[in-house]
Amino acid sequence: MPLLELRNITAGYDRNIILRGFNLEVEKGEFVSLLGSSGCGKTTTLRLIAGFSEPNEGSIIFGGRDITHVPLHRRNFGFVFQSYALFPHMTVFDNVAFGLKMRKVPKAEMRKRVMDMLALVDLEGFEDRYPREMSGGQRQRVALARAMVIQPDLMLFDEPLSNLDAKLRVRMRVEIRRIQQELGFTAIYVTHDQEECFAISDKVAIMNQGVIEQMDTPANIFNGPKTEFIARFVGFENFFDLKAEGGAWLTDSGAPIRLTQRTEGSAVKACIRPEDVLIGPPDAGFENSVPGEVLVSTFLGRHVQYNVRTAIGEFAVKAEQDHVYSIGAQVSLGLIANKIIPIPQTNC
Amino acid sequence: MKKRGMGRYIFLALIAPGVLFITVFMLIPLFWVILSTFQEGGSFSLNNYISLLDSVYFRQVFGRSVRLSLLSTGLCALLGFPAAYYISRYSRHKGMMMALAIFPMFTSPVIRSFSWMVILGRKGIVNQALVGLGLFARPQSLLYNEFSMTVGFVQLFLPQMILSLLGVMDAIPTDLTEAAGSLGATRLVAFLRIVFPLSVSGLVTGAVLVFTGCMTAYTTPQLLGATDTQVLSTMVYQYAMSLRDWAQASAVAMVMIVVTLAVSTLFNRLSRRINPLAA
Amino acid sequence: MKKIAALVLALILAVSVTAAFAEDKPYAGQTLTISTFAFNAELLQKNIYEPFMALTGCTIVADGANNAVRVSKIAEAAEGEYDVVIIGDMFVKQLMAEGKIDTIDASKLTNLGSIYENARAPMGEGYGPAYTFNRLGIVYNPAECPVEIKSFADLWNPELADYIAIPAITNTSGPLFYYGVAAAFGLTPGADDDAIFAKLAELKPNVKSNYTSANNTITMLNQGEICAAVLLDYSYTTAKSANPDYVWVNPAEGLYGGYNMLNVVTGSKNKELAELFIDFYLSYDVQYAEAMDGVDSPVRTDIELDAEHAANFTYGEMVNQLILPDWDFVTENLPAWTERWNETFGVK
Repeated sequence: MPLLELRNITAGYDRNIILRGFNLEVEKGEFVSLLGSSGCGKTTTLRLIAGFSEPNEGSIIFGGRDITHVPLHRRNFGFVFQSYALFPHMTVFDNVAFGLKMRKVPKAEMRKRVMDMLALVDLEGFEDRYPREMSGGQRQRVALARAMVIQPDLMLFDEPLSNLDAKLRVRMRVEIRRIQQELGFTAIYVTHDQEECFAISDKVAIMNQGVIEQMDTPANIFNGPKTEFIARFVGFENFFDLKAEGGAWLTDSGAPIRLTQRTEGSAVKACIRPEDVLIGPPDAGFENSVPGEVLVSTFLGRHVQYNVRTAIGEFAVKAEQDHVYSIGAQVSLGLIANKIIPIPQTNC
Repeated sequence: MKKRGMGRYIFLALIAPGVLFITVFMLIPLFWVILSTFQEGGSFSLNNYISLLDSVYFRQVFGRSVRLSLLSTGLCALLGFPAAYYISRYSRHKGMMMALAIFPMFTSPVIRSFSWMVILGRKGIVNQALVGLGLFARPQSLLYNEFSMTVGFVQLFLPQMILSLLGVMDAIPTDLTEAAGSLGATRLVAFLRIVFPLSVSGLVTGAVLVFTGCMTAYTTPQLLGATDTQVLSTMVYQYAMSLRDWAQASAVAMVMIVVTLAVSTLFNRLSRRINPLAA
Repeated sequence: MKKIAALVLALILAVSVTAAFAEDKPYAGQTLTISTFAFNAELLQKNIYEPFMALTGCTIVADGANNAVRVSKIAEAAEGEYDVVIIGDMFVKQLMAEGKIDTIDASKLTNLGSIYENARAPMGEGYGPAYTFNRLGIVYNPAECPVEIKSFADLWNPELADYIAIPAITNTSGPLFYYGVAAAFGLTPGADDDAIFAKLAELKPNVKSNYTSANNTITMLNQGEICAAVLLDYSYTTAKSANPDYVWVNPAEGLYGGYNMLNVVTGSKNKELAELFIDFYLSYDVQYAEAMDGVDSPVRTDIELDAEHAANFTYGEMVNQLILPDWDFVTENLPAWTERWNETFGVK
């Protein structure tokens, strides 16, 4: 039985309905990310789970209990805010100890748990500092410590790393994942950064306009996006149509394409990553060959990026730099068969 | 180099009229008044103050002024906090709520006093309810006493408190109370531990304004008080206008200034205890 | 062309006619500044100021406030700021002590012969006349009052607990009341001050308000806060308009009263105009209009009023019954009386 279930949730206010008939399941110990661009409903979902707002319809089941109407302060979920929401008038110690104070934990035990947690997030010695005296990264760790020290049943993260610089973000996401695995709590993590969530999640739910388009492991989504939206999201840049005719898949210009992935229907949108498109002279003899003309050629160092015009659309190609084709060169592209992902037209 | 010098002169030239105005029309007369209270018949004397402190009447009036002002300040804080919190956090029509809150500031004292007569008078609404419900046998004396004066003060100065608090509360991010809630704090606890300490600077500003206002208010005690509930401001009026004893009037005024300054400083000190970050 | 010529001609005519009229007025362009009562401002404007302005062509600027404030204002004012002061007798004494009251050439006052003898120069030869008398009495509401009131002494009746209003000693009628209290118990102000204040202390339980504003007292009467108030006669007119059942009492102890007087302020630059104004104030038309409108009782002997209008004016026989305190004595004792009054009524 999943630890957390959202059943048929409708949420929003006035004329702004954000979630409609929304469902979600999270297993115990899982690190699940909700990924999507602004307005897709990921933050709304997280806040509903936390208890900051109530759904108009539907129910939230946690550990088998219906907690839809359980008030915020009784849910025992840790929440890490994007802005950290540290209490400015309290020291680091008091901030972290706050949740324990609410639970009337005795002083000695409280002190031990707080200090242990500070050590875990690498903030030993900072207990008497005030938030305003600390850097963004340090504050983030205080926020983390504060939420985790209460040993919550569930940890909720609302884009916690957005306000940090790139290097720190990478370091911190590794930390968060490490601590999650060490302490073993269940986490729901909201972000708009695809790389970040793929790096640390067990499962990713990609959301678009209040609906989960696909929820799966990062690898499965990366290699097998189920919708064009997701495909674009995970880096597929090249899309072309294929129609089934007489047992084979044909492009719009009639060229046959060999697919290795099975798919349904008689019309699909096929997609392929720039890295998986071979480029060579017109007589290269590639499988799934598509002739074209180079429009743009960009030298990236290790790779060269091309935009190639073909009869079936413009292709983005990323190739090693052993041979550089210049603008206007006639080339042929080879679409690596097992890298072509078909998306049934019904899903586009 | 030349440019910098010019800029400085221009700056001084611009602020000079204002500074001059305040010096001539406020600082100098104030200083002169202060000096005059230490004189009697042209020579230095503390008699003006001694005669005040000797008078039982003055001591009572002084005690009453301070007592009622503190009480009114406390009531304004107690009533103002929830009101400001509600307007800041939960109100859909913030502008309208604010307008309602500050409305009393725009009514004239005479109208206010008459309205209170209608409400608190012997035949007023409150008494009619009290007697009608059988709580009291006879109408209670709710007017022309310290009770009605306090009510009048609170009605008059509550808007100041609400506005001061509102300014500060609006600056408190909502996610702080959400964070507190997620950590197990009920709304009340979140208010006491998060909102209240962070609002203290607004509370102090409001308290100082209310206290000063109450100490110096004239028309409210005049119209809602009685002769045996005189306060310092009505006393100054009596000395200055009815008896034309300017020396005594100035001495009383000095006492008012000193007390107001002392209490304001005290409030500031207290606020720092509650919130170490308070300005 | 013809039309324009006609228009211009008409304009010239109009201007010259008005100019001619204006030039007829001997005091055109002059301003007369008077300090007077704030009470009944519109009626004063109608009955006195407008006719005078029409007659002389001057402009009248009236400054109204209560007696005590006006004394301060005039005492501190520069020479020439005020021309005429219309104020009660006690305050004329105070102003005289400050040297602010100028002498008047009695021969300029043509109406002097038509007014009561004791009104002609109450402050001594050379000083201004009185234009109205008033007396102190009691106004009570028979519907509310548990007892009938016929004298000052009646106010001590314990059944009137917390139910009466008396003037504060600093009020215009304060000293009058003080004399009335003395008379009620056969005491003399000055010599018997201790005994008088002892009696006032006994009265305290009955006193709901020690008023400084007669208007507010009338409101209290209307609202049922008090059932009786010690007031000057002209207040009764206002009170009666709110409730015709109110009863006016001429106290058995006697009619303690005073005059309101007209005087020229020292240093006036318009002395001639001022004296004309004072004379005008005593003219038949003005006195009659003021009496008919219930503003002031007339001081002319040739004015006959019917019973209705005479009802609460100090008029006719009553004028001779007026008991006037020695205002010098009052002024001398007022600070001491005020302090004792504060101690009696101001201290709990």
